[in-house]
Amino acid sequence: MPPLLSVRNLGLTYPNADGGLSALRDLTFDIAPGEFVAVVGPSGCGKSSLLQLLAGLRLPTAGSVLFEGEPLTGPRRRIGVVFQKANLMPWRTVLQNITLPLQLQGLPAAETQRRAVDLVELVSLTGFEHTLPRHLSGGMEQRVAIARALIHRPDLLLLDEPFGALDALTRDRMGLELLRIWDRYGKTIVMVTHSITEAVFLADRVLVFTPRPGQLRAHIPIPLPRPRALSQTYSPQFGALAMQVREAIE
Amino acid sequence: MAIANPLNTSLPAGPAYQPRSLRLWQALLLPLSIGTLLAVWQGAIWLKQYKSYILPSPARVWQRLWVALADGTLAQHAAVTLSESLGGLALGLAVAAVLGYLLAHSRPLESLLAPYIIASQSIPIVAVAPLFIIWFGSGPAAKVLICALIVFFPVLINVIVGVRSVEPDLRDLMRSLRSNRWQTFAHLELPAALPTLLAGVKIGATLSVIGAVVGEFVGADRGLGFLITAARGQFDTALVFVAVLTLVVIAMSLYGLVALLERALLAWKE
Repeated sequence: MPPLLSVRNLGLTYPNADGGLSALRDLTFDIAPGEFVAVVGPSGCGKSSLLQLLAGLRLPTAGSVLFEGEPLTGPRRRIGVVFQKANLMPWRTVLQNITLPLQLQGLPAAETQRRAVDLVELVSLTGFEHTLPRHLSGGMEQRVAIARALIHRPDLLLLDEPFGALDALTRDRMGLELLRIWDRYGKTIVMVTHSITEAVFLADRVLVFTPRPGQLRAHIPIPLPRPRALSQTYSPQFGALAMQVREAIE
Repeated sequence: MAIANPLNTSLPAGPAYQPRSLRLWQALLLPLSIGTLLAVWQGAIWLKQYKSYILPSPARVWQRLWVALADGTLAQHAAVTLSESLGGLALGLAVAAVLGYLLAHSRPLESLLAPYIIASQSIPIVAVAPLFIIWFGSGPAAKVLICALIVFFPVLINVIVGVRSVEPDLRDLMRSLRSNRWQTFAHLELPAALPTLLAGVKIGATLSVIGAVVGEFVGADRGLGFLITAARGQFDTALVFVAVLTLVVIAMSLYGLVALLERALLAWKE
């Protein structure tokens, strides 16, 4: 199967006084359709910049990102993004936040409503449809953000440390929930995280980045069986894989 | 509500629970303060035996108010001032909103226009009012323009601050959803800037009344500013009081109207 996303010699340099700050250098990798790929690396390795490049929100200074073989020159509706912060609009209710992408696309209200109701159920927010974001917990906010990113049915979902601000327990639960959604939804996910456990637990493959400028240090396939359960995180195999990722980082 | 937070400066109406005695006290506060003011006023007259053209008694002002209401002069002049204020508010608001939006998006335009905008504010409105009367005549047009000028600045600044305060992450979100310029405005910038914009409109609403009166002082044959000048010339100080109080009522009503609008539009903030 041809890759959904191809990254070729990708580089990003931020302009500054002394010739530019190199954030990412010479990245080359492919993402297959349906894959769940986690990107890990020390903070400041340009993980978030990478996600912005993959989303088309920022343009590379070297190399290219190919989406289904075509160079990505700007944001696309077929690429959904979940940011570090939930980024909800405080004046919109849960349902109104979720339906924003479809509203912008001008889809009929009936279809919008039908999809939104489905998604509210998928992300376990039934009963909170008309709640304003300020009454939601951090975990609930991120679930709204995920539902919003899914409603226009993108083929690629980009997640930028979506659970970074959540407490450990909520984080585990959200991870499981994300896997359930991915399983039912069957789309491609690229998720940036700084948690090795999270990366190994969720992904098919882990890409390990070096400190700035971010370069690809290792591709680590995660052959853990699916569906995954939290109990797997205590298995020797999981420990060995996590160790492998940790060693690749250091 | 009006007593707990009369200026409506913060939207949350304070603590949800207050002991009953405190609430009772707050409800009595405004009548008490007005009563005290009237008592001091009347007391000063009894004590110092001021002539009524220096300081008319509350009762005299009250009688004058009824006379002015009965013969229609008050309503007639108040309507003129109110319409000038509203016209100026609308005009100043419209120009400031459009220009503020453009300035918020363009630093070069801001650095080009900022000196002129700030200069326009450093000139006292009373100093430019005569020019406006010379250029636009003693009709309502000059007053509307004076009001607009005085409303313009606070609204402009608030629009710029409001539009710039939109979170960059939300802009990224809108970009990732391929929102066009109009959609970004309607769904993100407008609702995000609305609280700041309305705060500016509140200031503008009261300033607008001042603008109208300043214009009427300089040259007019109607309006509350004219009424004050005319009454002063006839030593009808009670009528001056009536006109001033009417101005206060107009300014407070405009302010209250914007505050109501704020409550309706920003219910999500409560």
